[in-house]
Amino acid sequence: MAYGVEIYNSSGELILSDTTKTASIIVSGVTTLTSPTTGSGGVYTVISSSINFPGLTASNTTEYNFWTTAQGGGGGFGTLEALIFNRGSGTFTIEYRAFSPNVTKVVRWWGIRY
Amino acid sequence: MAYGIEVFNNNGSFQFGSEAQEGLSVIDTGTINSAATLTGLNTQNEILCLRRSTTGLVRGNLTEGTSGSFLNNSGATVDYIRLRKMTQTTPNDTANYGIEIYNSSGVLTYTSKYTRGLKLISVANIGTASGTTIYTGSLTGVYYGFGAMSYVTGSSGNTMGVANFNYTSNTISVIFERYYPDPFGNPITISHSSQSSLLILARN
Repeated sequence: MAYGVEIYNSSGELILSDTTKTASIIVSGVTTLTSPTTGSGGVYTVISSSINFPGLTASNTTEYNFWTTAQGGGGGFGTLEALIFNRGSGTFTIEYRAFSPNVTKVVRWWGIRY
Repeated sequence: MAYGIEVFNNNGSFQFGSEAQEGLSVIDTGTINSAATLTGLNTQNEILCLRRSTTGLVRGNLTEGTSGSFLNNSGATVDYIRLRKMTQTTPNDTANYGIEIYNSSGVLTYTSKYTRGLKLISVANIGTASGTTIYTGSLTGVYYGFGAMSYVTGSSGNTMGVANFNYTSNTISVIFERYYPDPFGNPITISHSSQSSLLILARN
């Protein structure tokens, strides 16, 4: 191999090759968001406070990204709600757009580097 | 990074580093029969990854939480692996050699002391549109880790879906749709994009 690391276990099986990439969790947490009582255009938006994610930038989506099992519409047109990760420089916020007030969304999220 | 270690592979992709909070390890493998439920999931610390050995849809209902579960609504048996944060499980290889990486807080971020490793093949980013093919190639031993998934039968007989994964002989594509009944009970389909990264991976 040109460079990198190869690791074998005690049985001689390759568990990390020089072409393998892995997913590492940089930050993780649980954020609870509740849509406000006042909306705009029928949309009730709540945005979390800023959360640290070292290495994150607005554009490095091929190396730093987010994992969540929370359900949202993805932000596309016509969806009933949206869950959006707003990328910043070393930080991010989580935005939840509901179509009703006082809707609580529990977001389990991981910031992953790969 | 001010200090520590970062390792990139031959293709320039990240392998591991001391900046990470922790890595992922395979803790369990098995099968879920059609219409059966896998219980005991902790979605706060785990990623459930699925595959099927025949062509067709993979779909079901993931219940979040520390006592989470997955109901297999694929109409076929699916294979699964569970990935868990390294801090939440103990390495199962007792050999006294290998490599371990700790971050500046003393947390183990990588260890070779699991009997089998995990190979990340590719990642589909947040915003992947419904209908996108996220993997092409041999499907032998290839799993995908999804974010949310919901496919249940509603009280009216209509169905509500969030994420289906369509296996062909050599591709995996995603279908992000929701179904809502109109006033006459007929389903209205709305497509959307993913709100989580999607992982394509295999065990070494």
